[in-house]
Amino acid sequence: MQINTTVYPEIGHNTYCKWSNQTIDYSANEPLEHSIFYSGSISENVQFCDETNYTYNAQAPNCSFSVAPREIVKGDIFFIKDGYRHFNFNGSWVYNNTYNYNIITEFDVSQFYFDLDKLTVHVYDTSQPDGGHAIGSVISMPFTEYRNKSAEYKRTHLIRDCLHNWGTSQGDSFLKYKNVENYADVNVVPMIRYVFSDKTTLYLPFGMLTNYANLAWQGPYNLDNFTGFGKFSPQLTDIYLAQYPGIGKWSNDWSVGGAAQAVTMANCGKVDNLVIHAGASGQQVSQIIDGYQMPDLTSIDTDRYAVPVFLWGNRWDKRIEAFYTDEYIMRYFASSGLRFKVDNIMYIGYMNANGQCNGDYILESELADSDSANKNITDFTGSAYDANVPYVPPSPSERIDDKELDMSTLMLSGNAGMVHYYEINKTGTATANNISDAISRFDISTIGKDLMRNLISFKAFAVLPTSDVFNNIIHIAGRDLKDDNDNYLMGDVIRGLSKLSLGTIEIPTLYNDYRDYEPYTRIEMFVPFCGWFHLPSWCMGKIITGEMFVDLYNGTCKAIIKASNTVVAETGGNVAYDIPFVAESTGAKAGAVISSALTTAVSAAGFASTPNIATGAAALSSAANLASAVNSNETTLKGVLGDGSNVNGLNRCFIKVTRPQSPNGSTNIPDSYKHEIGIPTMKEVQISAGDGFIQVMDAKVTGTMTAREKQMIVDGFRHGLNF
Amino acid sequence: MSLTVTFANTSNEYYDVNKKYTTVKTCTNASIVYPCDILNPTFKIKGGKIDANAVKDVFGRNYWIVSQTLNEGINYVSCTVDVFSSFKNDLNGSTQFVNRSEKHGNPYINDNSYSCTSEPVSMMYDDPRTVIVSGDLHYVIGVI
Repeated sequence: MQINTTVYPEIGHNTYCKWSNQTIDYSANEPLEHSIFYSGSISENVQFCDETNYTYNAQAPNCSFSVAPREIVKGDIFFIKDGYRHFNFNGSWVYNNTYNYNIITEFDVSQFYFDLDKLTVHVYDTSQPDGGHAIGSVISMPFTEYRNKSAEYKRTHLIRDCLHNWGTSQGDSFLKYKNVENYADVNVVPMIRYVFSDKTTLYLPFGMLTNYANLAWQGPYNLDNFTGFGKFSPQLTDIYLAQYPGIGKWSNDWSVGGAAQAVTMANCGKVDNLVIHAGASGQQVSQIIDGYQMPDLTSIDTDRYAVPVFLWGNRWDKRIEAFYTDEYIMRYFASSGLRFKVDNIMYIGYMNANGQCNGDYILESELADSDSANKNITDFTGSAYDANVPYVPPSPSERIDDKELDMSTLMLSGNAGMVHYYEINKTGTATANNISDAISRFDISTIGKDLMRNLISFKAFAVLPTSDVFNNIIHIAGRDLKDDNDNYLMGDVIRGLSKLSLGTIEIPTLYNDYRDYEPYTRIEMFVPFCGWFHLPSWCMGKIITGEMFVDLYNGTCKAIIKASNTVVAETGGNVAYDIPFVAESTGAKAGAVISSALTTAVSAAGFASTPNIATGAAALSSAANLASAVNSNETTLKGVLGDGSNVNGLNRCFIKVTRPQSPNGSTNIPDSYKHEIGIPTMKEVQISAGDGFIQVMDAKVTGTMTAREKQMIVDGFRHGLNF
Repeated sequence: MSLTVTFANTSNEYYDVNKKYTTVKTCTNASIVYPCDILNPTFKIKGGKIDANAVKDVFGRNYWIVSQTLNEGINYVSCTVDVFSSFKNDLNGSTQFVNRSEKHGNPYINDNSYSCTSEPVSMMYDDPRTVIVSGDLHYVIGVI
């Protein structure tokens, strides 16, 4: 997927982003045009050349050009780089055979694009329990594939895979060292460090600005020398966060570009522990790059622990966030001061007052909405999003540009006419002595003098109805029945339906081929009160949202499940059950009787931390029977205790995906299979050398061959030829 | 009539179209055993066994060597035509309706040839942010 930037001049500050080589003190608010920056020396020898005319020799390193490279001009875009790192932007390669950092003064972001399909996500395990070797390994996958992984997968599987890939023995020793049995308990976890393109390395600047002169590899790495270091996110200041501004190359060889010594808690962040490794002749020399100290140093043997200089991540709430969502990665891009759209979300880079580059986003629909408060947004500096803070997914309504199901589209949307329903909530009964007390204080003119004779139903609901279904107020002797927090205690149900959100679940693909669909993979969904039901195969990879409409009159509910704005399932159930109550013909004793029943019921069931249905209902029944017995000549037990089993189950929705297992343990179909047997194609192809295995059932062959030879060729195609 | 025959080796497989040959020996005084089926010719050369598995560019074709028969200083080399290599120029560039392929395939078409295990694995996913059951009971009474 190619991402084209779209420029919104009316809201943006970086239609032209300036890169500055000036040392800027970001202790004060800076103009937003500095949102892309890098501090370093400028080389005048920056050259551009088309990719096809450029050959790079990594060993020298140098390059040769089949056509003369040209000087950079406005419109060229390149990222921060050094002599042998380059990045493909807009179809052009940028290369500089000096070792200086290069800065372009302006570029037009409207010309910027990058190709998600070519990006690869590398997931690292950062642990170094023996002080010298990373335990984990790199898991690489296309970004587009990573996007489809569920959060659960990223949290758990990547950890396991990283550990296992490194080797069983070392992985085991790591687990023993950490004294953990469950991968999910591993405190040091893999994380995305960089996003690479397929050919080149993309390095993104971090939010720390310093003078290039201070980036010498000796001495100045004292964090105190970095202006504004103390201005990282406050929540990170207690974990010895060390950030080293700069850029560098990724290496799968820890010894290249890594830390020469283990950086322990005692010397964390000190300058002389981080050095540049000048590789042997011909190697790509690397430089120290940003480094964060991730491990929870309070729980491990710090003397044996090293700072993973080449890795970075964030710690949050006593644990390390191991994964980034794709939105986070997009914001990461944007933090370079770029603006682009993905999936109707526009990402914008900005720099906050602390000199941190951040990425934020806004829905495209919001920009187009004349009523949107954010339509003309120009300042993201007040955003809660911070590049140093793990990304928290927004609520579904922010992410999905869907249409709300309108009440008017539903059948039961009116009121109950002359029949009134009243909801008695916990707060109400807490303020009043009990339900009967509350009932006894009803406005007589509203409810009628003889409430007990007019009761027709009494139901216990396991869900909390939304407040909008109630009328404003119930009067008690001329004053409002409110609690100290101004909540209404009892409400007249004015609309039969209460809408509840069932949440959002993404169904992750695994194989990214036919096996993700039926009949191989089956998707089921559970909705509380409604049970399990089947979801169609095309929901795979979609974001599933659900809403439940609860009928407050009779307790039935209807769950409507959508996948990408399309209703895929509708199921029903019951969220309530009947509670028997005592009705009395004379009315004189009814209040006391029902008071007894309700008080018992509420105290037994209503205030339990979880619905104690059976106890509450039994108490009600018992109290009602008792009342009925005492007043046998005057009272009647109405109703029976309802079956509460439907409301005693899982409390939220689940998606269950049942998948087949691959015979080779990998999610990918082996290359050898593709080469020897091929995968279904079923289309017309112009065959060319290099296509590999081709099988044709009825080949059409022309040429000077004899009939027998022709038949041999046709038979060969039927068997499968290798081109 | 003398014939030039180039003996070669190829490491490619039978169904490979674009074979690579390494010339082993070129005989300029070879002859043909008649009658000759050009799909299965036999070449007659002086000398012993030749360490080759193919013959190139005779009759506009390439051949697999089927056998070598030695008799009184003469090597009778029996061949059979390699149609795929011989007519690769007709095959490369041709347009076919392809059933299966290595690089043009659609991964979303069912492939019954690639078996999965009979042990499915279920995974559960949820959105813990939304718990619709509140934990407390709520009561609704109806009054006529």
